[in-house]
Amino acid sequence: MRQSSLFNPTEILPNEKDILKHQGIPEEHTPSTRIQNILSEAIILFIGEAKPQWIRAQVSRSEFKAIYLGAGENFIENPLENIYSQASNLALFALTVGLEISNKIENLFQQKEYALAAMLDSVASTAAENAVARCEKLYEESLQETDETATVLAYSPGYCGWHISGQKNLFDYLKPEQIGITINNHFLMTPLKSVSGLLVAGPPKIHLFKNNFDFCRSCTDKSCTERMWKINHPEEKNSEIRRTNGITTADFSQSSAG
Amino acid sequence: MELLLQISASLQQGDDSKVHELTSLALQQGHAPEKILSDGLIAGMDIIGKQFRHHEIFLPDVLMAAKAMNAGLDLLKPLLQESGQIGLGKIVIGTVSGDLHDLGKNLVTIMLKGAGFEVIDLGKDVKPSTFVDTAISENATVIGMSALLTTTMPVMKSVVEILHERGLANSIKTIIGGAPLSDEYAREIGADAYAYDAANAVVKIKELMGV
Repeated sequence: MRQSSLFNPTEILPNEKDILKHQGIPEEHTPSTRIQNILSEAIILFIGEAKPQWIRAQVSRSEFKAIYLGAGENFIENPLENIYSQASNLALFALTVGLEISNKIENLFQQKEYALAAMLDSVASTAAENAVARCEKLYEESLQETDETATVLAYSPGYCGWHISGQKNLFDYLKPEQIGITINNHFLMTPLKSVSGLLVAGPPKIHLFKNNFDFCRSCTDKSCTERMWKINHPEEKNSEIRRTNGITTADFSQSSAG
Repeated sequence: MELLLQISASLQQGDDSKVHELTSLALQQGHAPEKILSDGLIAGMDIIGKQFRHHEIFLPDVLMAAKAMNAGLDLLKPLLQESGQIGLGKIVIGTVSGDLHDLGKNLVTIMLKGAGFEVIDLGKDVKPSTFVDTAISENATVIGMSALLTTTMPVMKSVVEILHERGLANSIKTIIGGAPLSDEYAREIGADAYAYDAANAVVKIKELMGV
């Protein structure tokens, strides 16, 4: 089954703490009034400009196996093969917060409104992460009639041993061009604030793994730790699962040269 | 407070209209444009850079200061160009071919300009030959390359190889940056430096240029 829909920008609006964290501002630091004003302006711009959309398509395990193999460049030792093979349901997904936001950010840079441009970029990136969490939730809800205990988490090409070249097969199957997302020869998605991947539904324990694979050493994301912590602490289930396991954009806290 | 110090202080506060006003006043009072640039604008950005590296201030503060720097620089640039004083050195920068992420590259450009460098920003999706050809035609001594995708990192190696093929590797230095990159990767492809963030890029480029 294939579905696509829009999000209201307010549905995926990040909280201020997460946006500021993305800007490299620690939680314990109280931002100045000027920074707070820039943040407020960026949020208003996001609500006005963002056109978030998502698309999802159910896949069987055997179909996904073919997609996952891609160009045969996945890490031999990786957690996802074990995770998806235990899943009760699988779906490919892609989402975007829209091209308009990227254009707006670019325009703001050209107008030398650097701080606002960078803040809007952080709002859009964290919103894309929230949109993934929202997609996980929507898929979980859609399965509740048949699979009420399923926990859904998303996994993306380029992470956890799934080679980025997996994007090609994913796109061939899902056809997210329908909602305006394309990839280039380097598997880069346009609009930039887009995420694609696999939604894996199943018993919570299937998502647990020991994150000591070869590629974990060079991973700058490490969101798996938090995701697994949430699974091990189900009382936290209703709180927002923050994840950055998607192909979004540069993370200031990691590098400003992206 | 002395006028150039006031320019520096206003820049640090990110007050672009004040910096514009004071720079204009300094020119009217006969201060040399080079002096206003070095003792006012660059002096202010130096302090901002240090505070940022020490986590005393954060990205938005730096970017507001950079906007203020530009407000002053807009007035000085035509005068500096007339006198041939264009700054600490010239750098060609861009996001490599296949990659469209330019936020980090933009931040590096802003920081470099703030530090007094002239920057030729080639934008994003830049071919290897374009980096080298532009560096030659613009007489730049450093090429800065940015990539966020592992699939586009090899483009950086192509740039280094072209420089070697043309015998330019000693006269045009290369620096790379971006989330998946590292010192190790820079060494592997023969790049001269790696910068982990925009502030670090300024430090590394100063080292490369010996300024």
